[in-house]
Amino acid sequence: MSLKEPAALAEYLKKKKVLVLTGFLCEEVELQGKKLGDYAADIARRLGAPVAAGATTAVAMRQRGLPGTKKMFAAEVVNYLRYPWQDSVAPAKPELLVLMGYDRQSCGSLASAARDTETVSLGNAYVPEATFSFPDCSWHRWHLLLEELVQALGK
Amino acid sequence: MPEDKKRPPDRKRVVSVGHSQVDLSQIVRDIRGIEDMLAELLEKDWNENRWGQFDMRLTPFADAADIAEWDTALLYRHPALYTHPQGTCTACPLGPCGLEKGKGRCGLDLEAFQAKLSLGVACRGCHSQMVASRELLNYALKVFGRGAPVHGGGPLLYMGDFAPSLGILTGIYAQKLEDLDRALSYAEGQLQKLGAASIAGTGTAQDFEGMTLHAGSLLFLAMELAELVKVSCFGFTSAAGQRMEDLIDYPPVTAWGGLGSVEAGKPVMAFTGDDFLPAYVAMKELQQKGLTERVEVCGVGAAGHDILRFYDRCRLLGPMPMATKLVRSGIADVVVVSSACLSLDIPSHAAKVGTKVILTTPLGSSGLRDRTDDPVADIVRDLVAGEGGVVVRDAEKAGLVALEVCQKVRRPPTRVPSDSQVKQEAARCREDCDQCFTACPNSLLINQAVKKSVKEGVAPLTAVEGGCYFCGKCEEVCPEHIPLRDLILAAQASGTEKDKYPMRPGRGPIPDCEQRALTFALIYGNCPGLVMVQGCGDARIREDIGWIAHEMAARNCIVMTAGCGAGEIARYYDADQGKFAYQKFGAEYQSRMLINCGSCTAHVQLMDLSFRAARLAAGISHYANYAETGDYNYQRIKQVLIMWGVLSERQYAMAAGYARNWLPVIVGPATAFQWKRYLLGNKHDRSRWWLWDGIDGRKREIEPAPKHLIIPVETKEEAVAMAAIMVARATELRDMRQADIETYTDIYLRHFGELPDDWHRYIRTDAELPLREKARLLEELRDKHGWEIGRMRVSKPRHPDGRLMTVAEYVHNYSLEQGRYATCLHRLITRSGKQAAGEAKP
Repeated sequence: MSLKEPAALAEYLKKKKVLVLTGFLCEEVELQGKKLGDYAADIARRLGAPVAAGATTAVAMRQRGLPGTKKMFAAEVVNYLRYPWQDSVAPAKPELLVLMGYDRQSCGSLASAARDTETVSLGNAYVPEATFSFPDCSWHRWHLLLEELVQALGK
Repeated sequence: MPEDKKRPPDRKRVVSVGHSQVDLSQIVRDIRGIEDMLAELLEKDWNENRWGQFDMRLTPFADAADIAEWDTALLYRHPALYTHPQGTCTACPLGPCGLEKGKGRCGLDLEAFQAKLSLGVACRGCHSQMVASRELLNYALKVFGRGAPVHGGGPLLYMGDFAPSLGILTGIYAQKLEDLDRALSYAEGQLQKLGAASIAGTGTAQDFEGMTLHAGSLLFLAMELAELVKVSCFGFTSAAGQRMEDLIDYPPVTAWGGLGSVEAGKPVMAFTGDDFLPAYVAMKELQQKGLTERVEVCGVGAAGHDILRFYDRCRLLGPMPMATKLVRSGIADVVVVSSACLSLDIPSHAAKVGTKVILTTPLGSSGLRDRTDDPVADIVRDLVAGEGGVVVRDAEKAGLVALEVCQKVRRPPTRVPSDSQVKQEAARCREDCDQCFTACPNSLLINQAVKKSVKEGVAPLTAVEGGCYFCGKCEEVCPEHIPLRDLILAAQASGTEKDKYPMRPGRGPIPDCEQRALTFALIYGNCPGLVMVQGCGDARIREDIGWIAHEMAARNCIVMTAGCGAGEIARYYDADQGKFAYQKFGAEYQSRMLINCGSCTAHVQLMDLSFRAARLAAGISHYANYAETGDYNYQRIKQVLIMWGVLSERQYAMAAGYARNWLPVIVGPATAFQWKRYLLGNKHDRSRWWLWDGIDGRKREIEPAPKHLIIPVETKEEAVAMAAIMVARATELRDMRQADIETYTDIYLRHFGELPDDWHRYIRTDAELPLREKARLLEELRDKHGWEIGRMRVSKPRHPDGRLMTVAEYVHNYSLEQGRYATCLHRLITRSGKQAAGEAKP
């Protein structure tokens, strides 16, 4: 579902057991001077959600003040969702995966394989496989959507 | 074999293996027509001890179902994970069938349908190589005759070790071209069956996945066959014919790659695709006429790597996915295009720069005139006079035409946008758009580069140029119709002079004496394992594959490569030492080496190594004996494959082939997430990680090794971290475990700032801890994993079930004692082991 109202998403996320999954673009893409990883950290912090740090984002996520960050491989995360949850990255099976730092194709793959778990794609391309996804948008609009989401999540 | 399944007595054929008498009908389902072949194999290549110890079965000319016993064991531990599941099947007139809520009319369920689609991809991946191998073999049969001998290029490959990817499926010990013909006919028939199953099959997901693995094995057979013909009939380089002491630098690093390696002012002919024959003919003519100094011969993709194995003056321009971009650079006067792993519109790109095209592929004309039956002089005349391209389905004629045309044709100089033109075009880029970034399959930050180009010109574009393989999707979505590929070409042109690197041509096979010499380093030394690095050359950061190869070789691994990836690795430059990758590392089959085997077909050399290992170490004959060979490799051979940049379906089939031999495959970077099937293990599920103790018949819990069989990763750092632990095996000796853990934990700490959460599952005693980090790891065992530690020793390890136990108890209850024989297959428990276990059933 295309999501143009970040505030509504924020309310939804607050009710869920969320796991934030950070991908390879988190440290590459910069929106108005703020990296995608910074947004991922803001979201995880405000939700109190654990972070499964994909690619090489683990060190940077910890430096952003998220000591509970754990290095994970994205494919392993969705693979474990097929089974009774046992991984230490989250105390219980996540109800919702927030995917940040993935291109449309990778994000679609991960979302389509995540069994019994909702997915939210916060990239700048609409990902139909995700339960909720930002729409296709420019980087400027993307920046605004992320800012709005972070603000709506509160402190 | 049960009594009622035996062949009738008249089909019985008894042969001698040592002092034992073996009834072939007991070990082969149907021996009719292959009795002599089987008798020869058993008498020459079988070990009497093994025959006596196990319940042996052979599968000559195997169907997928014949090896299902093995595939089932493999898929049980690494079940398929499907992405982008397709919920509706439209494959037959009874459909469409929605499978989300139940089975289709043919009985297929959703998962089986995904597996069937996966099989279709693997079959497509096989087809182009199968055709290329057939074309090559048919040519060799015509020119050299059916009785022409087949060999490995020298005396260092013995019958037992010869062509295992071919022998393991068929049982054929190939000695003549006619043997190859028989093997390829088998493979073609098998591929037809698999293709039919991918269309009309009605099996289970496991059936189709088994067939997908079988398609991979057939691909390697076709590659093996091509390699044998290349070495036997065309004199390709082969390490098997060299002296052992020369292999450290064989072949020497004399070749050059990159656009900058092509000498300006000379006529240039380029060859792309899988077929080297036109180049072979042209090169012979070139040498005969004394023109080698006057004409530049270039190769793109497989053809380039093949040419280097008989003519090291060839310039390797780049990998196959880059072919259109390289052609658009205008480097070549004429380009000969054969069929390949990818379908690319080379003729239309060539037309833009006036490069003449000679199409040799039997797979279509691209709208060009078929001039196959015309005289060479006429074709040359017309091409020089202005005809843009022709089809010549005759490799010899194509080679001669190419040589003539490149010397006679006059082309206008190729123009790319100037710096000011780039600025002008970039100025049209909309501030609020960024669609090019979204459309780019490699997620290149084109939008950012173009915006910077408004002020800085070409320079910012060089950051994305290397990862662009000219698919044109950015241009398709650009609302301002900016010719983005022209801008990329400008960036490419600005770096042409620097695009020059030395490389080592392919060396062909690894002779068995070389493989034996490695034993100490791999089994008792500190070599973490054998890491194969390959790829199509379409990764978003071009330099990554070289970094991966360098990183693993520098960590004392044996790094092997072949295909387009081998050329991309050559670009890696160590600024500290002032050396390129192949200059820095030797080429012997030893630790800390970087070995290039050759073109795409030479990937089979990597596979053959592990098939041979079973023989070298355990006396297992590979002939028609997949399950036992694979079973040995699964437990013993520390090997892993990193596929970096995986555009073609051939790579998909290849990954399946490797995986069937329990050779774990890591695919990346992020574009590999487009694959729709992976084989992933779950390290948390202890019920899946076990082996039969082959000596006493007990079921033994083991560490999750290898963790996965096919897994995608996002970055080069993830690739090396995953590779470091995917080489781990349950039967490893102490020093091997030390090497594993040292590499695994060091890479994790360096790139991810933490220790992995599962490293402790791969050790049992403090003696297996790497000395450098021993204190830290012991502390981690105590504090995080609840082990009892006394001074610098492990007093009591904690079993994954939570029990603390003595080290002796632990070693007896978790993983395997050093060197202990174990197996995935119940029938391969020793007869005495079965008796000891009271004939335990699986």
